[in-house]
Amino acid sequence: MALPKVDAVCVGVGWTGGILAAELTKAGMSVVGLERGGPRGPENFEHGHDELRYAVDKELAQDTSLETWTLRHNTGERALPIRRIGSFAPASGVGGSGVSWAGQTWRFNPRDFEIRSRTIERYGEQVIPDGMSIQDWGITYDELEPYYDRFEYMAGIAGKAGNIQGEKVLGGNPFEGPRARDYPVPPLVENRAGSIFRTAATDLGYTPFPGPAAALSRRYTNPAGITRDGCTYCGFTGHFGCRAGAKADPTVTVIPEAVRTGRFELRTNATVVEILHDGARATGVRYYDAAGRLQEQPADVVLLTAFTFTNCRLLLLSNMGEPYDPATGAGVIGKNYCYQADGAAGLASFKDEDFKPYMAACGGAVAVDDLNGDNFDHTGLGFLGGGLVKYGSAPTLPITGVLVPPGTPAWGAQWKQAIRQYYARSLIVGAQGESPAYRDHFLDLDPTYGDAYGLPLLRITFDWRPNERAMVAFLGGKIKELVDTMGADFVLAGGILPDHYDTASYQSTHNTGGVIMGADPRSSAVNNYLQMWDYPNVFVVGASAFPQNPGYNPTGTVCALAYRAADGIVNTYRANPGPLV
Amino acid sequence: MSGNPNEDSVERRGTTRRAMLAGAGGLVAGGLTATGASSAPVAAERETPGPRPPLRFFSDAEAATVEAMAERVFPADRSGPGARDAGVMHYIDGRLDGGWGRGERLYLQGPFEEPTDSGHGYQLPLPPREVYRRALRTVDVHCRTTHRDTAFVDLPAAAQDEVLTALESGEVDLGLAGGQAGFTSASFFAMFLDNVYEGLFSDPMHGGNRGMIGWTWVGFPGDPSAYGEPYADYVGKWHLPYHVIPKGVQ
Repeated sequence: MALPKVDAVCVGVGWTGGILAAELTKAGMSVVGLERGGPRGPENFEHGHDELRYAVDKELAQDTSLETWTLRHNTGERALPIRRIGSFAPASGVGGSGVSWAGQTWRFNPRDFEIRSRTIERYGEQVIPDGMSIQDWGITYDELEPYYDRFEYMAGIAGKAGNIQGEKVLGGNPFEGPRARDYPVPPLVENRAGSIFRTAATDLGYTPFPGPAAALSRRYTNPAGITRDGCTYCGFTGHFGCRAGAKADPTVTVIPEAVRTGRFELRTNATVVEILHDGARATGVRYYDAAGRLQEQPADVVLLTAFTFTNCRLLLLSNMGEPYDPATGAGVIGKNYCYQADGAAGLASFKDEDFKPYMAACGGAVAVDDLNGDNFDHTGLGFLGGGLVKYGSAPTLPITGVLVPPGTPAWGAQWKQAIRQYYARSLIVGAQGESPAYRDHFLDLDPTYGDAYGLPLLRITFDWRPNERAMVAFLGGKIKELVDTMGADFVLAGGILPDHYDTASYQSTHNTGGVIMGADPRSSAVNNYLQMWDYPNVFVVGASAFPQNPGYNPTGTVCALAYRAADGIVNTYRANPGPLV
Repeated sequence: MSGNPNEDSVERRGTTRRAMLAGAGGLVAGGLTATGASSAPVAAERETPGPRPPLRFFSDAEAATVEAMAERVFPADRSGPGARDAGVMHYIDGRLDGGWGRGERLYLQGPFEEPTDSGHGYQLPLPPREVYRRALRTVDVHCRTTHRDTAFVDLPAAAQDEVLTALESGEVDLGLAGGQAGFTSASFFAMFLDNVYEGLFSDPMHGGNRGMIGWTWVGFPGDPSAYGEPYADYVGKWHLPYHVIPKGVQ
């Protein structure tokens, strides 16, 4: 029995579902949000400064006993399930990963959106390695800029502009694309370790600047009239929820915006298992409600606003779009799965410093963009891409943050002395490495393993390639120069990726692709409004749309794309349903 | 989407950072310059230890073995108390009796196959508490076989360290691995070390870190909310010392 039809249904209520729900309901549309997890808000984190519960056990992440993913490193290997949360931690519950994120809020570089054409233009097509399937996004930075701006002002991002309408601004990122105006609130307070990084970077000729952050540097009222307090620098950042509401998260921003219209109905513990469709049109979704009953929610517009993996898996489970086939290169659903090539890092330790690492804000960083993307000449280097090099605030908390240099035993009297020596006196410089697409890195349905409902798990085929290994080694060498410049008592740096991509140790929740955007329906699944080429009333919104993953944290771009999709639906599609491109 | 909870450099999860630094170490010549702790955190006011909590999972012999093993990881010495004082064994006992030990949130559907290459993580059909029970039995047999029928707890410290080193290097056969990417005694030892670290540094509400021994040792103040969020007064004034007696979640 179908429920009453609504104008739109959101599958997943995190950042993208929340943004679309807010924008569509404000425009008068009725929206139902279906969230697989439970209700959540800042009140749930009143006693939440518990590292074991959130950072070790990752309580906010998806429960892998119910649904997980399988991984193989190449198409010849049998995939094995990722049996507990490891390398990445997509969340479940209202607000999604937008509750547990660490808050670094970047814009991608203009080059990133035109990576293929600009690479060929500068170096020639022959520099693109065999099997690397990087492609342009079908949108330019300038087209996306207004939507970045909307997200940053809604969320209250703390930062310093480096380029306002083409004018370079001292103190910001000189490599960023032109922005309409400065950030809505000033940068967070730089800490002592950040100042040491800034000095070293300046000495080496780089241009350091404060990383844009989703923790408010002061009390802020956003354009929707929602007021939030400034950050307390409590140090419980990524994997935690914010008890103060200072970290921008959907439960304190866009979801309240949608709820107060009276046109948004949020249903929790509602697990969507199928998108219903008839011809070239989706008619609604089928989901299990909190009591385990199968329900049908009809809607004029279906918005897939879950995490990267779920967006892709639901299309495959629903037989929508042509599944990607790496053997022929035909099909699009599942294509160009990418991640983040971390692995370059440096440690500097100082006998006479006390960095107070536990005083830290979400997203607080000092960064240089000189070694990212194509901001430096790659001629003769033997690889493409780069990474954002930054000092964050590690290590902050002791279970996961105590560290010892290599050569120190992992236990015993010497280890006991070393953790005391290094915990508060060390800083770590890291790099957020670009992850290019390859023809045989993709997502499909696993033939063997299933979820709690008996449906196939999503299978990931992915590994590190020579290009990223060379890139990470290069970044490691540059980081070594940086830590060597700091005057530390002990330094160590390098860049190395493991023999194979490791699903067990946390790296980042920057999983991208599978339902990629582009200008051509033969090589992409959605257009530059995130609208499916094959089903114009279906929008697939998330990092699933990234054709490959640049060397920045993804959330800023994910949310900008969500505002663009909302703009397309509200201002064009609603009056004239059909393809927007 | 997500953010990167605790982005790359910020809070890379413990095992990752350790792996990263160890990996980086392969590229860099030189080792640790021993400097010693130059500014020790203020000594915690030692709480009088209460009665030992009852055991929930371990047998008496298992508890004694785990307590002695943890003590070798973080030994009491002239510089300060050790894992026994911090209640680490009791923490692990509770951990194994609780959701984590019972395999909560662990995908335990078959088929179960040993990986043929690295990077696949935990693949056993067992919840962690069963791994412990099996491994502790093996440790006992190993000690009695190699040390004239002596249990781990009765070995001298140097011999105990040899046993732990054998576990750490994967030399003790737990009967759980067929090939190189299988679950070896090194895998068990890594699991055990993670649990010891948790028992030293988690909030005391979980049964370890008694008397704030772990937090005091590294100078971690605990939950700032328990002090009324004082950090804002220190942020930007980085020269000001910040030494408090740690507090857990209130």
